[in-house]
Amino acid sequence: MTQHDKPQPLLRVENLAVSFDGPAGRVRAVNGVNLSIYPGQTLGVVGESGCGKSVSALSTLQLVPTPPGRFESGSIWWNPTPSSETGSSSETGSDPVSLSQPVDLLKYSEKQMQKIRGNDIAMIFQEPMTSLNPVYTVGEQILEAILLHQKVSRSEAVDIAVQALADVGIADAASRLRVYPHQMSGGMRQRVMIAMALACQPKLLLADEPTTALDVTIQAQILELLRKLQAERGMSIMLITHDLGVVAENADVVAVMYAGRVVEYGSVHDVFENPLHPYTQGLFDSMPILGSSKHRLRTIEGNVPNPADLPSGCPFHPRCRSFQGDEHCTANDPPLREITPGHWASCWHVDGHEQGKATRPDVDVVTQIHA
Amino acid sequence: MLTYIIRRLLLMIPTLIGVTAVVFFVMAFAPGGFGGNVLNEQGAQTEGDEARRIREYFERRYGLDQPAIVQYGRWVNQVSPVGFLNTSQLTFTDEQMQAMSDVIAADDLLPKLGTPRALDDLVLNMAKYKDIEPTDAVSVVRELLVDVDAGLAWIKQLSPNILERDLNRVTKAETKLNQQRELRSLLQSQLAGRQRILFSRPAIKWPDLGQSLRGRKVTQMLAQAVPVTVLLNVITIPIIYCIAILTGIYAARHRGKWFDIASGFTMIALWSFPVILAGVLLISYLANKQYLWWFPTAGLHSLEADSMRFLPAFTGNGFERGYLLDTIWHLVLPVFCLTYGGFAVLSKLMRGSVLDNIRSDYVRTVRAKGVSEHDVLFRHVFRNSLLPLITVAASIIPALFVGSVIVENIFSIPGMGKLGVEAAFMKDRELLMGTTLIGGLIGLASEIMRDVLYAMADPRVSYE
Ligand SMILES: Nc1ncnc2c1ncn2[C@@H]1O[C@H](COP(=O)(O)OP(=O)(O)OP(=O)(O)O)[C@@H](O)[C@H]1O
Ligand SMILES: [Mg+2]
Repeated sequence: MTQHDKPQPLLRVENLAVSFDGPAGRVRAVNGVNLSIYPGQTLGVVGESGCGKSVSALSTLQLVPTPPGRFESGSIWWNPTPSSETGSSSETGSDPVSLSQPVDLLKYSEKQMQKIRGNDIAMIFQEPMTSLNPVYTVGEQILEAILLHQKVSRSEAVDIAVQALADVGIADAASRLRVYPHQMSGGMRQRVMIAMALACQPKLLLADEPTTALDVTIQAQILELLRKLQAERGMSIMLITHDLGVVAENADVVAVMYAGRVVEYGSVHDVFENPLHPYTQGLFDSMPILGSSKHRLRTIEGNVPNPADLPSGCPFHPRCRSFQGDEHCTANDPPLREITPGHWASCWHVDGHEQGKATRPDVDVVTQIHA
Repeated sequence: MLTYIIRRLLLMIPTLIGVTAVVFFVMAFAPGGFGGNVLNEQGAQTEGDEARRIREYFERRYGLDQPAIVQYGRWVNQVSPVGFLNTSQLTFTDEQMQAMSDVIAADDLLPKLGTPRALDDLVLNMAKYKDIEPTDAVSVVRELLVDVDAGLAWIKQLSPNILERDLNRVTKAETKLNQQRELRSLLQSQLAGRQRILFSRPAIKWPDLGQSLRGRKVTQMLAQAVPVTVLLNVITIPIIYCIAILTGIYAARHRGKWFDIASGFTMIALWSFPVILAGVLLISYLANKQYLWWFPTAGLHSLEADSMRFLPAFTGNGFERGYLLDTIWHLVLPVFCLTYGGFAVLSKLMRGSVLDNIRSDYVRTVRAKGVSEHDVLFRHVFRNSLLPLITVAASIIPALFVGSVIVENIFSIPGMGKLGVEAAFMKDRELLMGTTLIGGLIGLASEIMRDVLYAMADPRVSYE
């Protein structure tokens, strides 16, 4: 532990690049993503469909199917050391090396990753309807995770599973263990997914659009539930979503992604008050604001670029409203730079981009008033 | 679940009626008609009269002088466990027979008309035909024989197509006693084998598959043949499934690697290779004295199999292979012929199914829990991948029985397939209907079994 004064991020993704070999050649799905997540923090990741949100999250667990996927470069530093702010250590059982130094998850072997998955880092997915194995009961599937990572007897594991189901607000949890996934509603299944993910008390939860497939009331319930559980356990969440409203309500820090990279990064406050990147601004303009009827919603012109055939220079320039035919934009890819302290953007047109520092995005705030 | 199975079993009845009806009517309206070959063959060897008599006998025995629909109705009644007794199913106790013989012996006329045996037969046939007590049948027969004209009229009624020539024989006989003797033998030949459904006698009875043209009971013939075919298939099915599942999983695991490509290629080649050709080639290479004489050519056992001990053993005269090994030795080539087409298809199916599941969402969840690849495959993917294999089981099993027809004929194995083909060639109606019925039963039963297995394997399926 070198810097006792400065807390370390729990997870730091550096220059992550992942490509897929497809019939149309190699596709760069993720192209130099940088981000970090601090203990107890919620990082909202937003961006259009296909911009690489899921692939970034899956990379963290090495769950990108290889082949066709391929890690081109980058590292994912995992540092489960309790930050000096939160203080108390309960890590007695862990590997002493991982206590002191961040480890690169991309360098981990399959065996080592299996110890991390579901135990330190858990993930929940977009499709609750298909994400559970149809031929096993809910109980068997939750027990599998518990028995895999915790040294408990079966009956103790059952108790843990019942508690996990009760924690996600499932009434009559003990009898629900014997139910098959097809006998549950979508919202119920997503609760089961969350219970399964959280049964082993992970430090980081990767939530990949956990509510997209659910109707609005259930969405709100699930997000509320995640907020509550986060406050109780102090875990970190990477919340992937299309919905800026969800980000505003749940996230501390926002990463806006476009075409496989992060184009804007900052605290929710900074990004929502003062969106710098034209793409982020476009996203806000296309979002309805309650109680305001003064202007029509504006959509972002054009389509998401084909990742196999990205435009030269700034990948956003063909759709950008600040673009006036300047060669700078078509020739050079703007790097992500810290424009104001704690607020990054990658656009030549942003005031101060020239002077901005090319640091890695890293915002250590937990602003949300949880629970 | 139980109600579902019962419902399915009940539904089998109309299906079986449909299946057997098709076979029955195709046979009935086929050129030459039922039994045509046998009758013509036997007829060719005998004089016209004799041939005609044989044909008439068969017609009476199988009711061929009636319309096909009536014939089929009779067959269904005979096979159905619930139905009406038919005259051939009536039996009499020893006391009844004794009483009848006593009455005949005490009669003043009857003993003069023929041997006691011939008279007993005639009276018994009459008793069955009229469904009356044998002692009562004695007086009926006596009435007919005493009054020759009444007797002739009754025969005309019984057999409308009877030739005048036969009737004339009776009237032309010189003495009254000779007339009565002729009448007795005519009566006996017209009653013999004649069957009538007794609608007055509904009953729960053993299904009766009737008598083959060759004279044996069809039930007996099937009782010998069906176990052979079932044995063949009981060996074949697990082999098919084991090979298919193992190669399918392995190919999917190592997708695109050499095993996947090689097995894919081999499977398609095997699948498209005709069984008949394979059988003939195997026999001519592996079971040929001039080539590799590794396997026997035909049959299920060696000639001396019956005198063999069961297990292989070393005795004074060296190694004795024993009954068991001998049977296995005979089964190698036929079982190979039956399996290779099946596992080729199923292996492809298994591979595709495993690949589909490996890419599915739930497997991603399982991996995200930290489950090892081995457990992902064998705990999660495996069970889900079996579902399509269970689905096709219902079509594989009947297909195997069809395959047995070819294989049994190539390797001269005395199973159901061989019997069925022979029956079709001979137009042996009862035998063919028997094999059709058993084949249909097996097919339908395997479908029910498939559905039950499916419900056990997949909790989403329920038959409530
Ligand atoms: N298994 C795969 N094989 C090939 N290409 C893939 C695979 N997974 C993702 N990709 C590609 O990677 C790119 C990014 O996909 P990703 O799933 O990360 O998008 P996303 O941002 O999560 O979108 P969405 O909001 O629709 O979930 C897409 O262009 C997609 O086609
Ligand atoms: Mg996604």
